[in-house]
Amino acid sequence: MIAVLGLIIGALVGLALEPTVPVALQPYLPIAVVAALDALFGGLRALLDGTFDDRVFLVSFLSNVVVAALIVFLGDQLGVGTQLSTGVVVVLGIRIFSNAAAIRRHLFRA
Amino acid sequence: MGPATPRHAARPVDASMSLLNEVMYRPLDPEYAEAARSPAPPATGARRAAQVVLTLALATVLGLVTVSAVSSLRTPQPSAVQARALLEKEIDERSSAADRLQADIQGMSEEIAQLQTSALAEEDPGLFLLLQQAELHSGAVSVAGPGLVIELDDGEEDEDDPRGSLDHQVQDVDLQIVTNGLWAAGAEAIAVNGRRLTALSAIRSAGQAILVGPSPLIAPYRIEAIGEVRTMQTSFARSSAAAHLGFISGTYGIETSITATTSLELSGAGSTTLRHARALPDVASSDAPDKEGSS
Repeated sequence: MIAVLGLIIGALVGLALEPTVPVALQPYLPIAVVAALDALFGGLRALLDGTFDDRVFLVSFLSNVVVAALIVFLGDQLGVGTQLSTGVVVVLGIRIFSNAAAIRRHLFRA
Repeated sequence: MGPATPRHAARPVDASMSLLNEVMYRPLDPEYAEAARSPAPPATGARRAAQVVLTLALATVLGLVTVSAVSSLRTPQPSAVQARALLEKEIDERSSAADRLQADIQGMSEEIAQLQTSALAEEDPGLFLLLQQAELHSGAVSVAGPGLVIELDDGEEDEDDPRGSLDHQVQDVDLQIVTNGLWAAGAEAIAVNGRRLTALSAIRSAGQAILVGPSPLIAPYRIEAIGEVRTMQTSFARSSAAAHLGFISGTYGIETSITATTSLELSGAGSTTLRHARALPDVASSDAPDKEGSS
């Protein structure tokens, strides 16, 4: 729960300060945001399952974002950045959908 | 759920399916279940406080990073809008600067004309008269007098025309024919929408716009011609230009009107460029030999 609280505080600070992201990091942002979404949905599902854990949530969030950015970086270096990004988005998208379906089942019993 | 990790009933037929199965049926990180099964021993005192602070700090940083990433992904559009606004501002600035310079030119040419008048009128009245005539015909100075006003305006667009042709619009050719007809009818000075025509003015079209010299015009077009009204009227009415006006108004629905007025005022065409100069034999003799001697 502390992790969620921290996330919300960070989000509010970000909205208030509107910090600018360095140009060098710009290419990694879209994938990183999708990875963060995946971690968020996973955390929400775990919360509804009753298995939520601050440590696991933070670690999965952090590793998701870092790995996603790394994959894009690696793809760019190898010249397959677009294809790799597409692959990552497909996998993360399927995960998000499955988690969203589980959350829906939890909330609406349908 | 009995076992902690829900196993799908259908076993993968092929090993290569494991990735899809993993993604489809176990989207949740298994660590959650593991952590729930074996909860970490409850920390106490300072250790717990440090954990809370660390978690909070890390989560805050992650939230901050995520939100700033999202917001920066949403910003590219404003930068395009900014560039557009900047360009618009620049265009406005340059146009007003051009207008100012035009006004400057107008003022200075008036000044030059005055100086010329005062200098030349006393010394050589004959030459001054010649100059005045030349300026009048070249369109360099503003003139006033009675004349004709011919107005042309675009006709109604033909809704049924699938090609969306521009026949209903006044073309550059129409203006050319009318102005040439007016010159032939004895006009001494002509202006189209306030732009004075000189011997060097071109009426042409660029895209859909009609240009007189370098500046584009917008319909309705108002052609003002100064001259002897009665003779101009009769000879224009007999000319092919009048027939052309009747033709375009009948065929394409272009609105035309010819009116005679007692007073028109046409501004000059602005600065004149010296393209050709020749020393007059009697004037040049006064100082030219001195210069040749000194050099």
